[in-house]
Amino acid sequence: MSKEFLGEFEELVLTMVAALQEDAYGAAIAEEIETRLKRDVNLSAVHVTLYRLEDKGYIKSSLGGATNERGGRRKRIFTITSAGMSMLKAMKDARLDLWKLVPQLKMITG
Amino acid sequence: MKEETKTPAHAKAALRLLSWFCPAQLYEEIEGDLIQKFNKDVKTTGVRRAKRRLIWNVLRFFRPGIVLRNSIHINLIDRLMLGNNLLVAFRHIRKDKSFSGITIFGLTISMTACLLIFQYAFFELSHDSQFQKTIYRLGITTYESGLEHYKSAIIPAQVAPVLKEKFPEIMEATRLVSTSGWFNCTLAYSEGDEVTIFNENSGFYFVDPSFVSQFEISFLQGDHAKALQKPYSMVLSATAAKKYFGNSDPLGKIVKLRGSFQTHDYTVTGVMNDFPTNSHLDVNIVASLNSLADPVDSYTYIQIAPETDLRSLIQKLDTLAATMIPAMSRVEAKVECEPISSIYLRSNLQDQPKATGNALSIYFLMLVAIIVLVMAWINYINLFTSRSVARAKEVGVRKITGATRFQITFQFLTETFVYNFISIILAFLLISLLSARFYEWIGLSAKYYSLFTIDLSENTIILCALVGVGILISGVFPAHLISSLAPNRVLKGKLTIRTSRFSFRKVAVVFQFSCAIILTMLVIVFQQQFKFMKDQVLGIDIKRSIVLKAPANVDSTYLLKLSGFKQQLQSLAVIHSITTSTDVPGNVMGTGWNGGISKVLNGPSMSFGINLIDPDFIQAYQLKLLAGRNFTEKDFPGEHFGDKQEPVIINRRAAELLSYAKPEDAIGGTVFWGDNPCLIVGVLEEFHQESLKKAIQPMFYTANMGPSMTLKLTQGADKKISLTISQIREAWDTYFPDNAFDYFFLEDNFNKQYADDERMTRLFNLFCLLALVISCLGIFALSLFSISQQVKEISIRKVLGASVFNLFRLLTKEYFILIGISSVVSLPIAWWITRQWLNSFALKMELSNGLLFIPVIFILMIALFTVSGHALKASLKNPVDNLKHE
Repeated sequence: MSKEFLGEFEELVLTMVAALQEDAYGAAIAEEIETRLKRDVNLSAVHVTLYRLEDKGYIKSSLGGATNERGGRRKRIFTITSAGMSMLKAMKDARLDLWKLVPQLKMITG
Repeated sequence: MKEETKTPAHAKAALRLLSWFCPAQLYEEIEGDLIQKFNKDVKTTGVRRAKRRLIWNVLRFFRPGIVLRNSIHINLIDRLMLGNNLLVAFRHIRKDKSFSGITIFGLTISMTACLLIFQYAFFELSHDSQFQKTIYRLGITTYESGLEHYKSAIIPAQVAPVLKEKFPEIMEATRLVSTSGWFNCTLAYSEGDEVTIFNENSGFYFVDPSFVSQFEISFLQGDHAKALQKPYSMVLSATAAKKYFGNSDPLGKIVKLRGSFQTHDYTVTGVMNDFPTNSHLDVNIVASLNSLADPVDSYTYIQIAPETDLRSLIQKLDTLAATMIPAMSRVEAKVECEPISSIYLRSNLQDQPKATGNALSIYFLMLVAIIVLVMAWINYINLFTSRSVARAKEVGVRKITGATRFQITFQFLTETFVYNFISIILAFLLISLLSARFYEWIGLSAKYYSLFTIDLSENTIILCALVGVGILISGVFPAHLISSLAPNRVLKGKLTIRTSRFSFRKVAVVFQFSCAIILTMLVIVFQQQFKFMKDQVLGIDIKRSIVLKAPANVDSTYLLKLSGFKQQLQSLAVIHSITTSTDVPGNVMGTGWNGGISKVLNGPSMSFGINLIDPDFIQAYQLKLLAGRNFTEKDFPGEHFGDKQEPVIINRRAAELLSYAKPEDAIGGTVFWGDNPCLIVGVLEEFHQESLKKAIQPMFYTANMGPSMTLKLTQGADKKISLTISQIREAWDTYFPDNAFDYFFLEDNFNKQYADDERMTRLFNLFCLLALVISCLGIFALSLFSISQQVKEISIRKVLGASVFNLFRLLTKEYFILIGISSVVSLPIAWWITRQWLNSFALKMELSNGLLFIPVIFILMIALFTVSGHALKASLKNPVDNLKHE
């Protein structure tokens, strides 16, 4: 694993950027987290996290198209970089390795 | 869909708020996201809630990650440059040693002086700050027949117990009875045959037990709660304990007190830490107050409950005072309630425990210190800009290789900090070397607290802030100027820095010279006034006089012994004459304990100075009797004063006040001292009993033996003073063996009154010198700069036929004008300040108009001298050297 670590929320947002691909921008990510994880997230927190990830070089961004529902404002579309992808993979692998160490519960019947 | 895109009015307001704090490059996407979120909320929760959420979401964006994004990224490069900036700064300091020497010299001396003064001022201001803020001292102003009679820090001792009983807001009332009013007071400790004996007329107090808790006295030995409960118990400071007992354990030792009002054995019950020197009190030894049968008056310190309304309390105290004064009396009294921390610098009452300071002169000194420091910074600015010619190429190259203006400003600021930092370190070094000398020089022996002790008091923080801001401003100005140079012009060699008619540098020089003129004027006036006072006829001969403190251990044989002692001394060749009196010149006169002097019984009374003298007084002090006769032995009062009609001598002023047209008319007249009728037998020519700052008091002399013995030495006896003293001591030990032998020189005692003024004068001399040196440095820098700008002009003029004198006049004209302006600005101020100061003297010299020109001419000479070096050099130079490059 690299020296850099990701916080739990950072990892979440990074995963979302990877998952949403062309549709990864602030509001969409926040919405997605809300609907999928039933977790209340704040828009500003998502933005700050995105900028931080960009500073760290895990994602890059470009301005995308405007839609009517945004009052004609353009989106900033984030895409995961290969560094981000490998970071995400490394974290997942580490997680799994640790998970394997946990003794699995057996169903006790009777 | 269309409707949803319309954002409601106050949602717009929220977005405007966002645009205010959000960096521009992030604004669009964030706004878009917010609108999208808002539209979704409208669908799911309704418009009203959605609006509220929008506002909340906007506010949530106000966080460092958004607001400060990309706004401080420049830090990084500057941090990288800091090391380089320091390197360049040190290189320049090394490269141009004369410039950096002058700069650092100017800054260092002014910082040293400024810090020394602040050290002294902070010490003065720190008086009594260690005690609780709720402690107040009660004093009293008495009025007789509506006229102010006396303001005293001492009030009747029976007040304190009443206060605690009557007023719940007064939590504690502590009395301190001083022995300084006693004629004699000695403490003796005998171990075997060896007797340690000292006079303890100052620093010895009888106190209530609550003294310990109220003044937070910490004990080194003994029980602080019980030490002062029992009568005849005594607590000594560590220093006093060492003085009496050396290294042996003081607890339980017996000390014998011999004083005018009591002779008794006291047991030492405790040793306390030395009382702080920065206090208006000088407590050295305390004894339990209940040892005194009937204390008359005391210093009274009350501690009030927090949030007490002081004004209403004072009103209540005034009413109480009115009830305590007998109804028949013509005396009225008003209570003075002084917060303990303001007593030392601001109290205007008489009878202080020790000499007080003067807030005004402290503030004035601090102001002058700050002015000197500001002058040094102005100099720095001047010197630095004068260097801009030399630095211009460097700036040009830096700019071309990509330095921003901010970076160049930062570079020069770093240099400023380096200069100031070096100066501060040198100043601290100098202070640690000079501090002791400095205090000795201004005549203060007290241990002053050091600036090196880290205390974060308000004063220190203010001083640090002041120095910080000063350094910053003095750095920003030249840095801004230099960084504004356009690189293409600089590198072409066309450097001209705009010199408008009212440039900052000229204003600065005017300021410096104004300060220098004011200080020079003050110094001249101070010196002249002191010379004037010294030249005044005192009316009394105080030279070659030694004053002995009369013995404390007296019994019925005292008078016999005294005359024996006097006779033995008289037989010594060195003694001219001997006299005893209550007060000697230089002492503040008591105004009597019996009340004022009046011409008719119970008539309107006046307050006279009262002195008990013996028949030798007039001869010993070489006074002139204007009318009537001297006292004789027969004039001494009987058992009690007033048993017979007491003969008195008055001085001329008293005779005038008692409305006798001529001194002779007063002889045989009767006056009343309180209720006692007195017969005027003589009128003395008046003399200055106290400092010449004060007007001559009306005096009232009665015949008696006073506690101070003045020995007038014969001519030449003062040359072999130690021999004389040992001869006197021998006689003393024969007649008064168990008594402390204490003496001082009358002239010293008298001149002690001027110690404060002397100190101020010395400090002002120092500051004047500093101000002159600094303003010379300033004008030196300014002339260097302006002449370097004019080099070509001078050369061309010379080629066209201007003489050296013409050029010299051209180059120095500016300074005459600047000094002229400075004089116009500063002389009225200087005039006003000297008037104010002179008004504090009863005898003052006349300010002559000629005096105004002395400082101006003086400054002009110095300035001309400073400038002429550069001017001559420039005008004598061969023009070819300056013009050949064109």
